[in-house]
Amino acid sequence: MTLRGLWQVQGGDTLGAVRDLLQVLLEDKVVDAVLVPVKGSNHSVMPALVKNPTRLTLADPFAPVMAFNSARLLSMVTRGGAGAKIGAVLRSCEIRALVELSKFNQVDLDDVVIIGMDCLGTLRVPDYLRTAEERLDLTADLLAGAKEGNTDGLDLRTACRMCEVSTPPRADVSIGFIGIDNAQSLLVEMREDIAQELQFAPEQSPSERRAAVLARLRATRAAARDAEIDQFRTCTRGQGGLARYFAECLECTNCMNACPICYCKECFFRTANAERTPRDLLRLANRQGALPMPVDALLFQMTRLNHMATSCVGCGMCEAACPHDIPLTAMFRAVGARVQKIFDYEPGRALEERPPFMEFKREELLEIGEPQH
Amino acid sequence: MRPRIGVYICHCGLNIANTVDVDAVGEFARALPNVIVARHYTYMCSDPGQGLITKDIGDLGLTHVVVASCSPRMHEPTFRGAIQKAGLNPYCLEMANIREQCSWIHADRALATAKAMDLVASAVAKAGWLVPLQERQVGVTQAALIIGGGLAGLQAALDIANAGFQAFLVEKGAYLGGRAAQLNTTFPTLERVSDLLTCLIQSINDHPNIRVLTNAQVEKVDGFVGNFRVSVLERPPRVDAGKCTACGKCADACPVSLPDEFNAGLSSRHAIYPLPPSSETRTFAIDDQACTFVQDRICQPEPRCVAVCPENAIDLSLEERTRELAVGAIIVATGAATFDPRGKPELGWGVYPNVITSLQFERLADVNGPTGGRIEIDGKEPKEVVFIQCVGSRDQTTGNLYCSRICCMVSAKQAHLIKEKYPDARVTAFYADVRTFGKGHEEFYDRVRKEGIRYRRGYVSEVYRRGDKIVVRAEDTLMQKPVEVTADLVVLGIGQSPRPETNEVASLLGLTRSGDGFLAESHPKLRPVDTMVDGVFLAGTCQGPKDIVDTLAQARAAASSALAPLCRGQVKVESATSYVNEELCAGCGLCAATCAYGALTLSERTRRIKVNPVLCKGCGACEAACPSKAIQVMQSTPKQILSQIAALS
Repeated sequence: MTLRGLWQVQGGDTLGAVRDLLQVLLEDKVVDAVLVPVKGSNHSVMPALVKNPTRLTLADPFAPVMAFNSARLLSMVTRGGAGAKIGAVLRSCEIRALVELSKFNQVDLDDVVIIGMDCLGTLRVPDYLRTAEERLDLTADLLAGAKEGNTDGLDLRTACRMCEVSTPPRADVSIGFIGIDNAQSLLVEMREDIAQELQFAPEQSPSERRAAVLARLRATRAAARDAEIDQFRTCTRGQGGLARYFAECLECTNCMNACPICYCKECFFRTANAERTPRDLLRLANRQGALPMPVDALLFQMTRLNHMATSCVGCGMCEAACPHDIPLTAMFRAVGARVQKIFDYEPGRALEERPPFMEFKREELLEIGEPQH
Repeated sequence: MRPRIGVYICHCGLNIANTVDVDAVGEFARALPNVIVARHYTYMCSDPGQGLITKDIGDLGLTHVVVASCSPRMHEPTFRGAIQKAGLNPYCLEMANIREQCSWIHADRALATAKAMDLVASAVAKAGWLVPLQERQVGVTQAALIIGGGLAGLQAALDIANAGFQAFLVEKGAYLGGRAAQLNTTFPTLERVSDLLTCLIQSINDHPNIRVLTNAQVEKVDGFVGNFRVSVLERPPRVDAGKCTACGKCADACPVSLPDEFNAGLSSRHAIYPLPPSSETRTFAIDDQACTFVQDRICQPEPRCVAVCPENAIDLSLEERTRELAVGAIIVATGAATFDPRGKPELGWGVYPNVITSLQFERLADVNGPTGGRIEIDGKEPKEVVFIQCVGSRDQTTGNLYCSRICCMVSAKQAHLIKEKYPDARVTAFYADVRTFGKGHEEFYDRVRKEGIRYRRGYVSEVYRRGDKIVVRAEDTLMQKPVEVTADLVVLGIGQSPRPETNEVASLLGLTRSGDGFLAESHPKLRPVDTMVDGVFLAGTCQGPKDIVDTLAQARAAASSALAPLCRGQVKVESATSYVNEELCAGCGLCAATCAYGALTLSERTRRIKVNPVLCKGCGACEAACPSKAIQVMQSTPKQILSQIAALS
């Protein structure tokens, strides 16, 4: 049961209002620590685990940059039991990744209070730093644009331009700023017990304009998504297929390190099991005439795709991490969409929904030629 | 030390050598890395063949052996034993299947030879990575569970008990004897079945090692060979056999009436009914499903049977209870159903009272049956009798393609009985093929024909009424013309079919069904009473149609197979189990979700997966599921498998 109402903004300081809310949560012991993006030197915004409420003065969850999918950090902070409540300020894709991680026992959600934020999208880190350098207050610009769902002038990441989920899919406390006059108040929804603790009173809140703005956003993004997926399919259907798509892959495993869900302690491709002998390599070169190197780059990508296709939430961290700008998000979204449809599985939708690999259904995929029952 | 591998290529007579150039494969193998010696021979599994291997191990100091021959399901144990005798660990053996997976399925010699080379190269690549494994044993609960109290179950229980072990005999119904209790005489020996049965049941009831649970059903089976845990749901004995004098007053008082399935529907009975005489206890039983008081507390003013019983032997208030059993082996003897002749409506069963099944005939012929042994229809002796064979067997239209194996002899026996009682009767048998393959069967068939039974090879198309007679219309397939035979008694030789609850039995124990719907043995030739589940064996008609002789033979085979682990007191468990690299394990649980044997659990403390090596069958599903291969199966490690693949690429 959640309660919905408005969180007042004093003197147009929207960021201040969110900091206040986080401070109250921390001071009222609803949470014992807060994981939130915090401004550092040189405009950098990186997540920090904040214990001292006074340190929240630099928190900026609005800044349109996501250097890290914090679901991965929460795995670190809670796995094996934190013994404390961690308030985590998260975007939609981070929450969905968190749900997936929980299904694989990589995060202990009992210890997490999800503070979900609306999200209009984020910039690549270098783009953000440059833009922040040029403009005085990127956060203020973003909040102003958010009233109409407008992101003009912000060079969003591909993953964000394709993202149809601008609001938190599940949260203990959610903070809305899109499609409302966010200089006056924020739209806040919270779990009943937290609301009582904070003496937060529900009230009627205007939602028509917000709904219209969100619908418009969803439509624009879905169109962008479809265009990207089409482009991926056209590209890989052509000469060279996936091999050409991944021609520049270094097998550096940055994508894997950035992925919030790729949870292996050590990737198989970095263990001795995957080592190739010189003899094997020469034999392959002999057979093929010329052996593209690094030899297992495509196999590595396909293995990651195989492991992640059902759980990928499309946050695009892999692509952001790629030194050669390989458009990984489009591939994961394209393949994910098909695989997820086959199993009627949507990553991050519900905790109870078991990943297809973990579920045994008597009737599922049919053998080729087997009649439908 | 580098591995020193010996490669041995088998001709399998000409099975392999005809299609694969074994000499070329040997030449090829000799050039592979780490191969010290490669030989080929007519039969590697023969003593001289094995001798080649053991001699080389000694002379050349081989560390690993590759045998390229048939499926490892055939001869892996043979070759493991051979290399063990020569001092190698039995697990340092790898087999390349160049028979089933190569020579038998290919025609082109050049291509088959190339494929055999690939298979050998791949086996050699893996062999170098094989590590010695320890054979492991676990203790055994020295008792057996027998499911089903028919002939097969009775005999199996008796054999287990006579060997000195505890046998639990669980029977769903109220009495022992199963289908055999309904039969009149045996073929071809014409003994009374009830004499055989009462003798057997007597020994069962008197045996100190046998615990009979009637009105009981197996609900759940856990564990593995040597250590099964079984839950049995027992319905209470509502009639106290110690007090009951079988006076029958209760049945007279019972308001419920239903067809008596024991008499194959030829008579009716009440919800409280007497047990058949063969069951050795003169007492009554209550059919819980039919009793309106047990079901819905309806029988006013108080249960009538209880009210009239002069001995106060009836108690309807008792509840069901669950009993837990621990056993080391399980014998499934759940029997078969008989074909329902309504599946062949053109034969008129259920329409004309003078069309009966062979099972109904048995009941009519039984002195304890509904007519006291008089074979009569409406009180009239039959003068014209027609037997129809293969009803529900060998028949596309019913989906039962198999031969039920007993019907030819049952009909011959029944025809003989008619002739014996009514020498003037005209008896005709319509058959498709007469199959009398058992000991003394063909002789009996000859005798019956000499007695004047007319055998006509023919396909019966219709049975219909004309006046007070019925007419059997058939196509005589020898004379190739239609014939009509009038009859006042038609006996349908119905076959055996899988019991309707076969699926439940199969899923209870993890068994499979063969194409005919009966429970499947694990190999039709080599392992005819074993199942795919270690420690679970099949006996009797649950596995396929059988006569009494075959049923008892299979029951005794199943019992002796089940006795093997019980006698040894220990069972070998899979050595090539899975193991977890705790450094790599992320504790995600994907492997545990795919494990069909419940061998994997997530440790709360370490947040890593733990393997129960006793439950692990080494199937490798976990390893395939694990994204980082933190869990691996010995003898199928990624290193081994990837080496195999690399050798092929």
